[in-house]
Amino acid sequence: MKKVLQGNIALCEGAIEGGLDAYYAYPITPQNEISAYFAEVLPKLNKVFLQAESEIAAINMVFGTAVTGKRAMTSSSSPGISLMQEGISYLCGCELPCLIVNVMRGGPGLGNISGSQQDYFQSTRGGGHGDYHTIVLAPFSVKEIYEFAKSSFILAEKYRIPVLIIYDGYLGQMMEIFDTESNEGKLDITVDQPIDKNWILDGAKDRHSRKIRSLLMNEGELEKHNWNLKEKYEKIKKNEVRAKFYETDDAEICLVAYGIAARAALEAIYKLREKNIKAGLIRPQTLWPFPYNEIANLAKKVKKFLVVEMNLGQMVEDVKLAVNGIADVYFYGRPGGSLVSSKEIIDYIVSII
Amino acid sequence: MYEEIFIAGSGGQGVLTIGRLIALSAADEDKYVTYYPSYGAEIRGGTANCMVKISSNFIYSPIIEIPSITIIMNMPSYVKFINKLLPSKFLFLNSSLIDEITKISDIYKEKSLKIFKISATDIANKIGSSVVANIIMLGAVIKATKIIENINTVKNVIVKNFKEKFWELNFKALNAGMETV
Repeated sequence: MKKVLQGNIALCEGAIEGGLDAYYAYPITPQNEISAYFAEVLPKLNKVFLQAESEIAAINMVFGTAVTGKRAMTSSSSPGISLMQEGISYLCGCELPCLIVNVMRGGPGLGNISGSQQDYFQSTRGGGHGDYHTIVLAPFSVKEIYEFAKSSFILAEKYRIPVLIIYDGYLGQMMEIFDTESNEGKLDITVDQPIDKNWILDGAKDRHSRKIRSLLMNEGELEKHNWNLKEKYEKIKKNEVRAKFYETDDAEICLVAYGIAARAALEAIYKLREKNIKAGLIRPQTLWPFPYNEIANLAKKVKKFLVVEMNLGQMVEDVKLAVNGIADVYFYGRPGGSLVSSKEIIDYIVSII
Repeated sequence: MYEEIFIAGSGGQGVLTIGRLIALSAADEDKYVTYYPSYGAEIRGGTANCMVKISSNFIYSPIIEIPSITIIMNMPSYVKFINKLLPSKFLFLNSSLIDEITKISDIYKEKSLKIFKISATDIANKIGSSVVANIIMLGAVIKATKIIENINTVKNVIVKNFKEKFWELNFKALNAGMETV
Protein backbone atom coordinates (compact mmCIF):
# COMPACT_ATOMS: atom_id res chain seq x y z
CA MET A 1 0.00 0.00 0.00
CA LYS A 2 1.39 3.39 -0.99
CA LYS A 3 1.58 5.98 1.76
CA VAL A 4 2.85 9.52 2.11
CA LEU A 5 3.94 9.89 5.72
CA GLN A 6 6.17 11.98 7.88
CA GLY A 7 9.18 10.02 9.20
CA ASN A 8 7.98 10.30 12.79
CA ILE A 9 4.54 8.97 11.90
CA ALA A 10 6.01 6.11 9.84
CA LEU A 11 7.95 5.16 12.97
CA CYS A 12 4.69 4.95 14.94
CA GLU A 13 2.96 2.85 12.30
CA GLY A 14 5.97 0.54 12.07
CA ALA A 15 6.14 0.09 15.85
CA ILE A 16 2.43 -0.73 16.03
CA GLU A 17 2.85 -3.27 13.20
CA GLY A 18 5.78 -4.68 15.16
CA GLY A 19 3.57 -5.40 18.15
CA LEU A 20 4.08 -2.39 20.42
CA ASP A 21 2.26 -2.76 23.75
CA ALA A 22 3.24 0.40 25.62
CA TYR A 23 4.74 3.81 24.89
CA TYR A 24 6.14 6.23 27.47
CA ALA A 25 7.77 9.58 26.72
CA TYR A 26 8.30 13.19 27.66
CA PRO A 27 7.87 15.87 24.94
CA ILE A 28 10.75 17.35 22.99
CA THR A 29 11.14 18.77 19.47
CA PRO A 30 11.68 17.45 16.76
CA GLN A 31 9.92 14.22 17.70
CA ASN A 32 6.64 15.42 19.26
CA GLU A 33 4.59 14.01 16.38
CA ILE A 34 5.39 10.54 17.75
CA SER A 35 3.80 11.25 21.14
CA ALA A 36 0.89 13.11 19.55
CA TYR A 37 0.15 10.18 17.23
CA PHE A 38 0.41 7.53 19.94
CA ALA A 39 -1.71 9.59 22.36
CA GLU A 40 -4.52 9.42 19.84
CA VAL A 41 -4.06 5.93 18.46
CA LEU A 42 -2.78 3.63 21.24
CA PRO A 43 -5.77 3.96 23.61
CA LYS A 44 -8.08 2.98 20.73
CA LEU A 45 -5.99 -0.16 20.23
CA ASN A 46 -6.15 -0.96 23.98
CA LYS A 47 -2.43 -0.30 24.27
CA VAL A 48 -0.72 1.88 26.83
CA PHE A 49 0.14 5.53 26.19
CA LEU A 50 1.58 7.49 29.08
CA GLN A 51 3.20 10.89 29.05
CA ALA A 52 5.82 10.60 31.76
CA GLU A 53 6.83 13.41 34.11
CA SER A 54 10.40 13.28 32.76
CA GLU A 55 12.67 11.33 30.43
CA ILE A 56 14.13 9.53 33.44
CA ALA A 57 10.66 8.39 34.44
CA ALA A 58 9.88 7.36 30.84
CA ILE A 59 12.89 5.08 30.44
CA ASN A 60 12.21 3.45 33.82
CA MET A 61 8.60 2.85 32.79
CA VAL A 62 9.98 1.10 29.71
CA PHE A 63 12.09 -1.00 32.11
CA GLY A 64 9.02 -1.85 34.19
CA THR A 65 7.08 -3.00 31.16
CA ALA A 66 10.01 -4.85 29.58
CA VAL A 67 10.47 -7.12 32.63
CA THR A 68 6.95 -8.44 32.04
CA GLY A 69 7.86 -9.47 28.48
CA LYS A 70 5.61 -6.83 26.91
CA ARG A 71 6.87 -4.69 24.06
CA ALA A 72 7.68 -1.21 25.33
CA MET A 73 9.24 1.82 23.71
CA THR A 74 10.16 5.42 24.33
CA SER A 75 11.24 8.22 22.03
CA SER A 76 13.04 11.46 22.59
CA SER A 77 15.59 13.78 21.06
CA SER A 78 19.25 14.22 21.99
CA PRO A 79 19.06 16.09 25.35
CA GLY A 80 16.26 13.78 26.49
CA ILE A 81 18.23 10.68 25.46
CA SER A 82 21.15 11.95 27.57
CA LEU A 83 18.83 11.96 30.58
CA MET A 84 17.84 8.34 29.86
CA GLN A 85 21.37 6.93 29.88
CA GLU A 86 21.25 5.57 33.42
CA GLY A 87 18.07 3.68 32.60
CA ILE A 88 19.55 2.33 29.35
CA SER A 89 22.56 1.02 31.27
CA TYR A 90 20.19 -0.80 33.68
CA LEU A 91 18.16 -2.20 30.76
CA CYS A 92 21.37 -3.58 29.26
CA GLY A 93 22.61 -4.93 32.59
CA CYS A 94 19.28 -6.71 33.05
CA GLU A 95 19.17 -7.78 29.38
CA LEU A 96 15.74 -6.33 28.69
CA PRO A 97 14.42 -5.97 25.14
CA CYS A 98 12.81 -2.65 24.23
CA LEU A 99 12.87 0.08 21.59
CA ILE A 100 14.42 3.51 22.18
CA VAL A 101 14.18 6.15 19.46
CA ASN A 102 16.44 9.19 19.22
CA VAL A 103 15.37 11.82 16.68
CA MET A 104 18.67 13.67 16.84
CA ARG A 105 18.88 17.46 17.12
CA GLY A 106 21.89 19.75 17.31
CA GLY A 107 23.99 19.93 20.47
CA PRO A 108 25.81 20.11 22.81
CA GLY A 109 23.44 21.31 25.51
CA LEU A 110 20.06 22.38 24.21
CA GLY A 111 21.74 23.20 20.86
CA ASN A 112 18.91 23.80 18.42
CA ILE A 113 15.87 21.94 17.14
CA SER A 114 17.18 21.20 13.65
CA GLY A 115 18.48 17.79 12.61
CA SER A 116 21.98 16.52 13.38
CA GLN A 117 24.00 13.31 13.68
CA GLN A 118 25.90 14.34 16.77
CA ASP A 119 24.89 11.40 18.96
CA TYR A 120 26.86 8.69 17.12
CA PHE A 121 29.38 8.22 19.92
CA GLN A 122 26.70 8.25 22.59
CA SER A 123 24.65 5.67 20.67
CA THR A 124 27.38 3.27 19.59
CA ARG A 125 29.57 3.35 22.71
CA GLY A 126 26.80 2.50 25.12
CA GLY A 127 26.17 6.01 26.37
CA GLY A 128 25.76 5.20 30.04
CA HIS A 129 28.09 3.52 32.52
CA GLY A 130 29.47 -0.01 32.26
CA ASP A 131 30.56 -2.29 29.44
CA TYR A 132 27.55 -2.55 27.20
CA HIS A 133 26.11 -2.05 23.76
CA THR A 134 22.68 -1.53 22.32
CA ILE A 135 21.87 -2.47 18.73
CA VAL A 136 21.79 0.81 16.80
CA LEU A 137 19.74 1.09 13.62
CA ALA A 138 20.13 4.09 11.32
CA PRO A 139 17.38 4.43 8.69
CA PHE A 140 17.88 6.76 5.73
CA SER A 141 14.34 7.02 4.39
CA VAL A 142 10.79 7.14 5.70
CA LYS A 143 10.37 3.59 4.42
CA GLU A 144 13.38 2.39 6.42
CA ILE A 145 12.12 4.14 9.54
CA TYR A 146 8.89 2.17 9.11
CA GLU A 147 10.62 -1.15 8.46
CA PHE A 148 13.24 -0.82 11.20
CA ALA A 149 10.58 0.10 13.76
CA LYS A 150 8.50 -2.87 12.64
CA SER A 151 11.40 -5.33 13.11
CA SER A 152 12.91 -3.78 16.23
CA PHE A 153 11.03 -5.78 18.85
CA ILE A 154 11.90 -9.13 17.24
CA LEU A 155 15.53 -8.07 17.06
CA ALA A 156 15.46 -6.85 20.67
CA GLU A 157 13.86 -10.05 21.93
CA LYS A 158 16.15 -12.30 19.92
CA TYR A 159 19.12 -11.04 21.93
CA ARG A 160 17.36 -9.61 24.99
CA ILE A 161 18.83 -6.19 24.29
CA PRO A 162 17.52 -2.64 23.81
CA VAL A 163 17.36 -1.57 20.17
CA LEU A 164 18.08 2.07 19.47
CA ILE A 165 16.77 3.64 16.27
CA ILE A 166 18.50 6.94 15.58
CA TYR A 167 17.72 9.39 12.82
CA ASP A 168 18.10 13.14 12.42
CA GLY A 169 15.32 15.69 12.75
CA TYR A 170 15.22 16.09 8.96
CA LEU A 171 14.11 12.49 8.41
CA GLY A 172 11.70 12.83 11.31
CA GLN A 173 10.05 15.93 9.91
CA MET A 174 10.03 15.15 6.19
CA MET A 175 7.16 13.47 4.41
CA GLU A 176 7.92 10.94 1.71
CA ILE A 177 6.05 8.46 -0.44
CA PHE A 178 6.69 4.77 0.15
CA ASP A 179 5.14 1.38 -0.43
CA THR A 180 4.50 -0.61 2.77
CA GLU A 181 4.52 -3.87 0.77
CA SER A 182 7.83 -3.45 -1.08
CA ASN A 183 10.91 -5.31 0.14
CA GLU A 184 12.99 -2.16 0.20
CA GLY A 185 14.43 -1.48 3.64
CA LYS A 186 13.09 -4.71 5.16
CA LEU A 187 15.31 -6.23 7.85
CA ASP A 188 15.40 -10.00 7.52
CA ILE A 189 15.88 -11.29 11.02
CA THR A 190 16.13 -15.01 11.58
CA VAL A 191 14.73 -16.11 14.92
CA ASP A 192 14.03 -19.43 16.59
CA GLN A 193 10.32 -19.60 17.17
CA PRO A 194 8.97 -19.19 19.67
CA ILE A 195 11.36 -16.61 21.11
CA ASP A 196 12.51 -17.69 24.59
CA LYS A 197 10.52 -15.83 27.20
CA ASN A 198 11.46 -18.02 30.15
CA TRP A 199 12.88 -15.03 31.93
CA ILE A 200 9.91 -12.69 32.17
CA LEU A 201 8.28 -11.74 35.44
CA ASP A 202 4.63 -12.71 35.11
CA GLY A 203 3.91 -14.17 38.53
CA ALA A 204 5.65 -17.31 39.85
CA LYS A 205 2.54 -19.47 40.03
CA ASP A 206 3.51 -23.13 39.40
CA ARG A 207 7.11 -22.31 38.67
CA HIS A 208 10.30 -21.27 40.44
CA SER A 209 10.67 -17.57 41.15
CA ARG A 210 12.85 -15.47 38.85
CA LYS A 211 14.95 -12.43 39.45
CA ILE A 212 15.88 -9.62 37.09
CA ARG A 213 18.65 -7.44 38.49
CA SER A 214 21.88 -5.74 37.58
CA LEU A 215 23.39 -5.73 41.08
CA LEU A 216 25.66 -8.80 41.14
CA MET A 217 27.65 -8.78 44.38
CA ASN A 218 28.68 -12.41 44.80
CA GLU A 219 32.28 -13.44 44.18
CA GLY A 220 32.91 -13.60 40.42
CA GLU A 221 29.24 -13.13 39.60
CA LEU A 222 29.53 -9.80 37.79
CA GLU A 223 32.56 -10.82 35.78
CA LYS A 224 30.75 -13.96 34.62
CA HIS A 225 27.74 -11.85 33.70
CA ASN A 226 29.90 -9.49 31.65
CA TRP A 227 31.58 -12.41 29.86
CA ASN A 228 28.11 -13.66 28.99
CA LEU A 229 27.21 -10.23 27.67
CA LYS A 230 30.41 -10.26 25.63
CA GLU A 231 29.42 -13.58 24.09
CA LYS A 232 26.05 -12.12 23.16
CA TYR A 233 27.65 -9.02 21.62
CA GLU A 234 29.95 -11.22 19.53
CA LYS A 235 26.92 -13.15 18.28
CA ILE A 236 25.22 -9.88 17.32
CA LYS A 237 28.37 -8.68 15.53
CA LYS A 238 28.44 -11.95 13.57
CA ASN A 239 24.76 -12.00 12.62
CA GLU A 240 23.33 -8.53 12.48
CA VAL A 241 25.71 -6.20 10.65
CA ARG A 242 23.85 -4.54 7.82
CA ALA A 243 25.13 -2.10 5.22
CA LYS A 244 24.18 -1.09 1.69
CA PHE A 245 26.74 -0.74 -1.08
CA TYR A 246 26.33 1.59 -4.03
CA GLU A 247 28.73 1.59 -7.00
CA THR A 248 31.58 0.29 -4.85
CA ASP A 249 32.85 -2.38 -7.30
CA ASP A 250 35.03 -0.05 -9.36
CA ALA A 251 35.15 2.93 -6.97
CA GLU A 252 38.31 5.00 -6.70
CA ILE A 253 36.88 6.92 -3.79
CA CYS A 254 34.37 5.42 -1.42
CA LEU A 255 32.04 7.54 0.69
CA VAL A 256 30.72 6.33 4.03
CA ALA A 257 27.56 7.93 5.35
CA TYR A 258 24.33 7.04 7.15
CA GLY A 259 20.91 8.60 7.63
CA ILE A 260 20.05 11.80 5.77
CA ALA A 261 23.76 12.47 5.03
CA ALA A 262 23.78 9.24 3.01
CA ARG A 263 21.08 10.64 0.74
CA ALA A 264 23.26 13.64 -0.10
CA ALA A 265 26.23 11.27 -0.52
CA LEU A 266 24.23 9.03 -2.85
CA GLU A 267 23.25 11.99 -5.01
CA ALA A 268 26.89 13.07 -5.02
CA ILE A 269 28.26 9.72 -6.24
CA TYR A 270 25.86 9.56 -9.17
CA LYS A 271 26.65 13.16 -10.16
CA LEU A 272 30.39 12.44 -9.85
CA ARG A 273 30.02 9.41 -12.13
CA GLU A 274 28.53 11.72 -14.77
CA LYS A 275 31.86 13.59 -14.54
CA ASN A 276 33.76 10.29 -14.87
CA ILE A 277 34.84 10.30 -11.24
CA LYS A 278 34.36 6.78 -9.96
CA ALA A 279 32.79 7.29 -6.55
CA GLY A 280 30.95 4.73 -4.45
CA LEU A 281 29.08 4.69 -1.16
CA ILE A 282 28.82 2.37 1.81
CA ARG A 283 25.80 3.09 3.92
CA PRO A 284 25.76 1.38 7.33
CA GLN A 285 22.20 0.56 8.37
CA THR A 286 23.49 -0.77 11.69
CA LEU A 287 25.88 1.62 13.45
CA TRP A 288 26.42 -0.97 16.14
CA PRO A 289 27.36 -3.58 15.12
CA PHE A 290 29.44 -1.58 12.63
CA PRO A 291 30.44 -3.00 9.21
CA TYR A 292 34.18 -3.11 10.02
CA ASN A 293 34.88 -6.21 7.91
CA GLU A 294 32.98 -4.91 4.89
CA ILE A 295 34.93 -1.65 4.94
CA ALA A 296 38.23 -3.47 5.61
CA ASN A 297 37.63 -5.63 2.53
CA LEU A 298 36.94 -2.62 0.37
CA ALA A 299 40.07 -0.89 1.69
CA LYS A 300 42.12 -3.62 -0.04
CA LYS A 301 41.23 -2.03 -3.38
CA VAL A 302 39.82 1.45 -2.68
CA LYS A 303 42.58 3.90 -1.77
CA LYS A 304 40.50 6.82 -0.56
CA PHE A 305 37.55 6.95 1.83
CA LEU A 306 35.47 10.01 2.61
CA VAL A 307 33.21 9.96 5.66
CA VAL A 308 30.31 12.42 5.53
CA GLU A 309 28.48 13.17 8.76
CA MET A 310 26.44 15.96 10.27
CA ASN A 311 28.84 16.32 13.20
CA LEU A 312 32.52 17.08 13.84
CA GLY A 313 33.68 13.56 12.98
CA GLN A 314 32.46 10.57 14.96
CA MET A 315 31.80 7.59 12.66
CA VAL A 316 35.05 8.53 10.90
CA GLU A 317 36.87 6.93 13.87
CA ASP A 318 35.17 3.59 13.19
CA VAL A 319 36.01 3.87 9.50
CA LYS A 320 39.66 4.50 10.43
CA LEU A 321 39.60 1.43 12.67
CA ALA A 322 38.21 -0.62 9.79
CA VAL A 323 40.62 0.75 7.19
CA ASN A 324 43.52 0.23 9.63
CA GLY A 325 45.92 2.55 7.87
CA ILE A 326 45.90 0.89 4.44
CA ALA A 327 43.89 3.67 2.74
CA ASP A 328 43.45 7.41 3.26
CA VAL A 329 40.41 8.45 5.27
CA TYR A 330 38.99 11.95 4.78
CA PHE A 331 36.15 13.64 6.62
CA TYR A 332 33.52 16.19 5.64
CA GLY A 333 31.05 17.35 8.26
CA ARG A 334 28.43 19.93 9.14
CA PRO A 335 28.04 20.22 12.91
CA GLY A 336 25.48 22.96 13.39
CA GLY A 337 22.20 21.32 12.58
CA SER A 338 22.44 22.15 8.87
CA LEU A 339 21.87 19.55 6.21
CA VAL A 340 24.90 18.61 4.15
CA SER A 341 24.33 19.05 0.39
CA SER A 342 25.52 16.94 -2.53
CA LYS A 343 27.21 20.01 -4.01
CA GLU A 344 29.39 20.50 -0.93
CA ILE A 345 30.38 16.84 -1.04
CA ILE A 346 31.22 17.00 -4.74
CA ASP A 347 33.30 20.15 -4.29
CA TYR A 348 35.19 18.54 -1.43
CA ILE A 349 35.86 15.34 -3.40
CA VAL A 350 37.10 17.30 -6.39
CA SER A 351 39.52 19.05 -4.00
CA ILE A 352 41.03 15.81 -2.67
CA ILE A 353 41.38 13.62 -5.76
CA MET B 1 9.85 15.42 -14.34
CA TYR B 2 11.66 17.19 -11.54
CA GLU B 3 10.32 20.21 -9.66
CA GLU B 4 11.54 21.88 -6.51
CA ILE B 5 8.91 24.07 -4.91
CA PHE B 6 9.57 26.54 -2.12
CA ILE B 7 6.57 28.05 -0.33
CA ALA B 8 6.78 30.83 2.24
CA GLY B 9 4.36 33.04 4.11
CA SER B 10 3.25 33.84 7.61
CA GLY B 11 2.34 31.25 10.20
CA GLY B 12 -1.41 30.80 9.91
CA GLN B 13 -1.61 31.54 6.17
CA GLY B 14 -1.65 27.86 5.33
CA VAL B 15 1.65 27.71 3.49
CA LEU B 16 2.38 24.27 4.95
CA THR B 17 -1.06 23.19 3.75
CA ILE B 18 -0.20 24.25 0.18
CA GLY B 19 2.94 22.12 0.40
CA ARG B 20 1.16 19.11 1.84
CA LEU B 21 -1.61 19.29 -0.77
CA ILE B 22 0.92 19.47 -3.61
CA ALA B 23 2.92 16.56 -2.13
CA LEU B 24 -0.12 14.35 -1.53
CA SER B 25 -1.56 15.14 -4.97
CA ALA B 26 1.72 14.42 -6.77
CA ALA B 27 1.98 11.13 -4.86
CA ASP B 28 -1.53 10.25 -6.02
CA GLU B 29 -0.31 10.86 -9.57
CA ASP B 30 2.43 8.26 -8.93
CA LYS B 31 5.34 10.64 -8.53
CA TYR B 32 8.08 10.46 -5.95
CA VAL B 33 7.60 13.27 -3.45
CA THR B 34 9.28 14.74 -0.41
CA TYR B 35 7.90 17.48 1.81
CA TYR B 36 9.92 19.29 4.44
CA PRO B 37 8.38 21.94 6.71
CA SER B 38 10.46 24.68 8.28
CA TYR B 39 10.65 23.90 11.91
CA GLY B 40 11.74 27.05 13.65
CA ALA B 41 10.04 28.53 16.65
CA GLU B 42 7.26 29.66 14.32
CA ILE B 43 4.42 31.74 15.65
CA ARG B 44 1.28 33.14 14.09
CA GLY B 45 2.50 36.18 12.20
CA GLY B 46 6.08 34.93 11.94
CA THR B 47 7.40 33.41 8.75
CA ALA B 48 6.74 29.76 7.94
CA ASN B 49 7.96 27.86 4.92
CA CYS B 50 8.11 24.43 3.39
CA MET B 51 9.93 22.65 0.60
CA VAL B 52 8.33 20.15 -1.76
CA LYS B 53 10.09 18.07 -4.37
CA ILE B 54 8.29 16.13 -7.08
CA SER B 55 10.12 13.75 -9.39
CA SER B 56 9.75 10.74 -11.66
CA ASN B 57 12.72 9.23 -9.81
CA PHE B 58 13.91 8.76 -6.22
CA ILE B 59 14.53 12.10 -4.49
CA TYR B 60 17.75 12.30 -2.51
CA SER B 61 17.64 15.39 -0.33
CA PRO B 62 14.39 17.03 0.80
CA ILE B 63 16.17 20.39 1.04
CA ILE B 64 16.05 22.85 -1.86
CA GLU B 65 19.00 24.97 -2.91
CA ILE B 66 17.60 26.52 -6.09
CA PRO B 67 13.84 26.13 -6.44
CA SER B 68 12.16 25.81 -9.83
CA ILE B 69 9.00 27.32 -8.35
CA THR B 70 8.75 29.81 -5.48
CA ILE B 71 5.48 30.86 -3.88
CA ILE B 72 5.50 33.80 -1.48
CA MET B 73 2.41 34.76 0.47
CA ASN B 74 3.42 37.83 2.49
CA MET B 75 5.82 40.77 2.68
CA PRO B 76 8.17 39.58 5.48
CA SER B 77 8.77 36.32 3.59
CA TYR B 78 9.31 38.24 0.37
CA VAL B 79 12.00 40.35 2.02
CA LYS B 80 13.59 37.31 3.66
CA PHE B 81 13.63 34.92 0.71
CA ILE B 82 13.44 36.76 -2.61
CA ASN B 83 17.19 36.90 -3.15
CA LYS B 84 18.07 33.66 -1.36
CA LEU B 85 15.52 31.45 -3.08
CA LEU B 86 14.82 33.05 -6.43
CA PRO B 87 13.34 30.32 -8.61
CA SER B 88 14.54 29.23 -12.03
CA LYS B 89 11.10 28.95 -13.66
CA PHE B 90 8.08 30.38 -11.85
CA LEU B 91 7.60 32.99 -9.14
CA PHE B 92 4.17 33.43 -7.53
CA LEU B 93 3.52 36.43 -5.31
CA ASN B 94 0.48 37.21 -3.23
CA SER B 95 0.10 40.76 -4.53
CA SER B 96 -2.57 41.53 -1.92
CA LEU B 97 0.11 41.55 0.76
CA ILE B 98 3.35 42.23 -1.10
CA ASP B 99 4.28 45.75 -2.21
CA GLU B 100 7.30 46.64 -4.30
CA ILE B 101 6.56 43.85 -6.71
CA THR B 102 6.56 46.24 -9.60
CA LYS B 103 10.31 46.39 -9.13
CA ILE B 104 10.88 42.69 -9.31
CA SER B 105 10.02 42.42 -13.00
CA ASP B 106 12.75 44.96 -13.71
CA ILE B 107 15.36 43.33 -11.52
CA TYR B 108 14.89 39.87 -12.91
CA LYS B 109 13.77 40.65 -16.46
CA GLU B 110 16.94 39.16 -17.89
CA LYS B 111 16.06 35.79 -16.43
CA SER B 112 13.60 33.49 -18.16
CA LEU B 113 11.48 33.66 -15.06
CA LYS B 114 7.70 33.78 -15.27
CA ILE B 115 6.28 36.02 -12.57
CA PHE B 116 2.65 35.73 -11.49
CA LYS B 117 1.14 38.35 -9.22
CA ILE B 118 -1.99 36.85 -7.72
CA SER B 119 -4.13 38.95 -5.37
CA ALA B 120 -4.92 35.81 -3.41
CA THR B 121 -6.01 37.44 -0.14
CA ASP B 122 -8.35 39.90 -1.88
CA ILE B 123 -9.96 37.16 -3.97
CA ALA B 124 -10.28 35.00 -0.86
CA ASN B 125 -12.08 37.78 0.99
CA LYS B 126 -14.43 38.17 -1.99
CA ILE B 127 -15.42 34.50 -2.05
CA GLY B 128 -15.98 34.39 1.67
CA SER B 129 -12.87 33.92 3.81
CA SER B 130 -9.28 35.13 3.83
CA VAL B 131 -8.18 31.70 5.12
CA VAL B 132 -8.48 30.20 1.63
CA ALA B 133 -5.93 32.60 0.10
CA ASN B 134 -3.53 29.65 0.13
CA ILE B 135 -5.92 27.49 -1.90
CA ILE B 136 -6.44 30.30 -4.42
CA MET B 137 -2.68 30.49 -4.82
CA LEU B 138 -2.56 26.70 -5.18
CA GLY B 139 -5.14 26.87 -8.00
CA ALA B 140 -3.06 29.48 -9.82
CA VAL B 141 0.15 27.49 -9.37
CA ILE B 142 -1.33 24.26 -10.67
CA LYS B 143 -2.90 25.96 -13.68
CA ALA B 144 0.31 27.81 -14.61
CA THR B 145 2.91 25.13 -13.89
CA LYS B 146 0.95 21.87 -14.43
CA ILE B 147 2.88 20.25 -11.57
CA ILE B 148 -0.33 18.35 -10.91
CA GLU B 149 -1.75 16.96 -14.14
CA ASN B 150 -5.39 16.69 -13.12
CA ILE B 151 -7.10 19.20 -10.82
CA ASN B 152 -9.44 16.41 -9.64
CA THR B 153 -6.44 14.80 -7.97
CA VAL B 154 -6.18 17.86 -5.72
CA LYS B 155 -9.92 17.84 -5.09
CA ASN B 156 -9.75 14.20 -4.01
CA VAL B 157 -6.89 15.00 -1.65
CA ILE B 158 -8.97 17.83 -0.16
CA VAL B 159 -11.89 15.44 0.32
CA LYS B 160 -9.62 12.89 2.02
CA ASN B 161 -7.91 15.39 4.33
CA PHE B 162 -10.41 18.19 5.08
CA LYS B 163 -13.69 18.10 6.98
CA GLU B 164 -16.71 17.91 4.69
CA LYS B 165 -18.01 21.36 5.67
CA PHE B 166 -14.87 22.92 4.16
CA TRP B 167 -14.94 21.11 0.80
CA GLU B 168 -17.19 23.52 -1.06
CA LEU B 169 -15.28 26.67 -0.03
CA ASN B 170 -11.96 25.08 -0.94
CA PHE B 171 -13.21 23.91 -4.35
CA LYS B 172 -14.48 27.42 -4.99
CA ALA B 173 -11.11 28.86 -4.00
CA LEU B 174 -9.24 26.37 -6.18
CA ASN B 175 -11.37 27.30 -9.20
CA ALA B 176 -11.03 31.03 -8.50
CA GLY B 177 -7.27 30.61 -8.35
CA MET B 178 -7.17 28.76 -11.65
CA GLU B 179 -9.16 31.54 -13.30
CA THR B 180 -6.47 34.10 -12.41
CA VAL B 181 -3.96 32.50 -14.76
